[in-house]
Amino acid sequence: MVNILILSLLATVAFSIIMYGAIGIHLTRLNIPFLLGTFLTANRSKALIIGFFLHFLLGFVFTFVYLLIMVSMNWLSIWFGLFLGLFQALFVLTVFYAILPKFHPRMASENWGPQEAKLLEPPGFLGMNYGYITPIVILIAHAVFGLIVGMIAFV
Amino acid sequence: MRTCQINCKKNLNLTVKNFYFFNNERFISICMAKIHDYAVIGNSRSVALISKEGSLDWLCWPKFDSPSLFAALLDEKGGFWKIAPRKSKEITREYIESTNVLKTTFVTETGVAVLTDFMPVLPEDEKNKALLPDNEIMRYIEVRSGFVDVEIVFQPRPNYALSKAKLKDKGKLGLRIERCGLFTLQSSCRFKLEDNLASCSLHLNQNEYASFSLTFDAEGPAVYSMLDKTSIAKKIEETRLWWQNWAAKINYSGQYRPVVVRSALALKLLNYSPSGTFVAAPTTSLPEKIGGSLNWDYRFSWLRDCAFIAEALYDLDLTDEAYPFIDWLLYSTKLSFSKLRVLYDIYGRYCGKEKILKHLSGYQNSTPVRIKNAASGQFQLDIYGEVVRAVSLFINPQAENHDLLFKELIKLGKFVCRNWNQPDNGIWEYRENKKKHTYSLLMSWLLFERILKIDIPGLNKKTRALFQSVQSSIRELIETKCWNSAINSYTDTADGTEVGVSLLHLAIGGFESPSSTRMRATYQKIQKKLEVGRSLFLRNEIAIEEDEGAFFICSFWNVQYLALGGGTLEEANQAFKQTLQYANDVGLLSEEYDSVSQEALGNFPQGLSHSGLINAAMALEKRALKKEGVNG
Repeated sequence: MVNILILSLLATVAFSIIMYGAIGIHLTRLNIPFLLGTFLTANRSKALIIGFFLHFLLGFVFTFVYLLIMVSMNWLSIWFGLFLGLFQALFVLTVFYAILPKFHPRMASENWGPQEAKLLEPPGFLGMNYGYITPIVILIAHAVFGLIVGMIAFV
Repeated sequence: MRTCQINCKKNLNLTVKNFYFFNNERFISICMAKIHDYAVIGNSRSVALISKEGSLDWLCWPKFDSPSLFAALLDEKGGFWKIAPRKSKEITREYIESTNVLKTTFVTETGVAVLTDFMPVLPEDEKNKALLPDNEIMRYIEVRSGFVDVEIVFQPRPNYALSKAKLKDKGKLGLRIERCGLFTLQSSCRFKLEDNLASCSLHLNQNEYASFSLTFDAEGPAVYSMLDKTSIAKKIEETRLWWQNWAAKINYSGQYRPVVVRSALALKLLNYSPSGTFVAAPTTSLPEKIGGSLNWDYRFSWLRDCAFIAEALYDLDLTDEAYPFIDWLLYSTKLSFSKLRVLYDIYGRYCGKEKILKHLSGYQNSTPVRIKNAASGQFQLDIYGEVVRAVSLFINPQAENHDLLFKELIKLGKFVCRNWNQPDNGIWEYRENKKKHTYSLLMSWLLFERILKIDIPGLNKKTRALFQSVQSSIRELIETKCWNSAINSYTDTADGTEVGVSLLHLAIGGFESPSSTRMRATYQKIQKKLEVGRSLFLRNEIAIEEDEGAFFICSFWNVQYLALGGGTLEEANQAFKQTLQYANDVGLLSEEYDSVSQEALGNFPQGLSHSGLINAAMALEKRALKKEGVNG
């Protein structure tokens, strides 16, 4: 159990490093903790703190989901972890980002534009509103996340 | 597109440089404004310069020294954002009282329109509570009477016009440009895109309006603004209140309060709140001489300028800005202590190697256009004294623990002990020959004067004796080598024959009595040689040969000298009032003024000029109070 928690933590930290590194060098403006935090509050500072907590919580949840799938399919390997990571990335880019403005309480819609209390830029197709390289960054971050979770095979 | 040169309406003092033709149907004239035609808006993080013609011609985001998005100030191809009626017969403008919210009123043949420009500001605690853009400019034009045809042209040219602006229309999410982040232009009107230029014509009747928001976000998703009339009015009101609450803290009630408040507001715009420091001016390469090469990038923190600004703010009780600057000075510049750099970037780092932007033609063809500043590597001895003079104002040994500060002051003192006799580049930053400048020696003398006066607890007897001995040596050198009996005046350099206005600091700094025989003789010489207009002074005799403009700071030093006792109170007041005449219509000062063409010169608005105005007003106030006391 401890090993799983450590792996989960490592995977989420690696994911965060890639995402924030990409923001730092202006490859993307996709700030996942900020987007998560603004689900619950419009306070910028609080949103980032809450968002970070939720981000790590989701990291644990997805680690368990990945492991559950791996165990149920009796295929514990880093390659299957990589596959799951990439699969999730594709889902996030194509489906999740398309429907995010519908249920994010503070996100503007591409169709309606900004409205009172809905002022946050939507991700757009493949998250490319946040920068054209965003899909690549997301794919890499999820791939690394999946690889690290897949390392359970060596533990 | 074709280019031609004709004179614009004289009352606007502008020159039409380009006509942009669209489908052979209509045109928009792009007027290249003069320096004094600009007003400035900002939020203590960045500023924008807007001309009388409603053209936003200078903007660097997110920081003062970031590459420009609009730089028409330096070249017509630098990019601009204009909102104005097609034809105006009269244009007036003003700031909403005690704020940096700019209102420009256009009177046309058919009606009157008012353009409001501002960067929204909120108190930090309230700002954190809401989702707001990281950087935002709001522009709002409303027709007050009749009807007005308004033209809007948005022509961004990122990275000093080195990068092509790829404008993308995202419909209801506005126009977008991606460049190290996202610039978003939202508006209540529909733009036509052509050759990476967005334009729009509006016919607005009475009470109709158009609103615009330009934002920049680099580290997260963009945050949009609501552009309906109520939301805009709310933002204007919040910003107005913020500035007016800030200005209400200014502790000065003398006869010059309006100009002092305007200068303090201008200084606040030059303040970079996140780090606490001030930039010398928010622009680069506005020339000190038209067609000349004295074009420098001032978007950095000069210790000298900052020290003058800190003193001015301290005198006005604006300690919320003055204390953070002292912290910035002590902690951000720590890496280079005790040897100080002449200038730093806003985070206390080396500003970078000076570069020339050859593709920009410069303000009125004054090249080169420079970014970064090579003066950072100079040795300027005077900054040590200026920094200590400013810092000493904030020291209350009984009330606070200043151990770290005292250690740093002693280090500075020891550094000056080792170097005071070295030639330096001087206050005017001459890039060629180093000399022993009287002003630098004076500031070194003043450094010891202040350190010894503070009575630093950690200062041992040996160091105190060393400081006293060096101070005496400096006095002796100034009194013997910097006084030229042949011309009966102090001189700008040791063993020199020329005078400079900075010599007035011998009296302002307390080295000489303002009414001493030597000071009076020196002042007469300065007046005779360097006064080029009523209360306008060239900095020194080199400026005569170079045909330079008059420095505003010199005019204010003149007022300070007169107010301290070099003249009568009436003379000092007269000189001050005369100097104020040279400010532009919204009370802003550049670095210099050309007494012949009557135009502002140099970077704009300039912190040193505005701090000089405040320091001069305070000196006048002290003299007036002293006079009242004597009379009473």
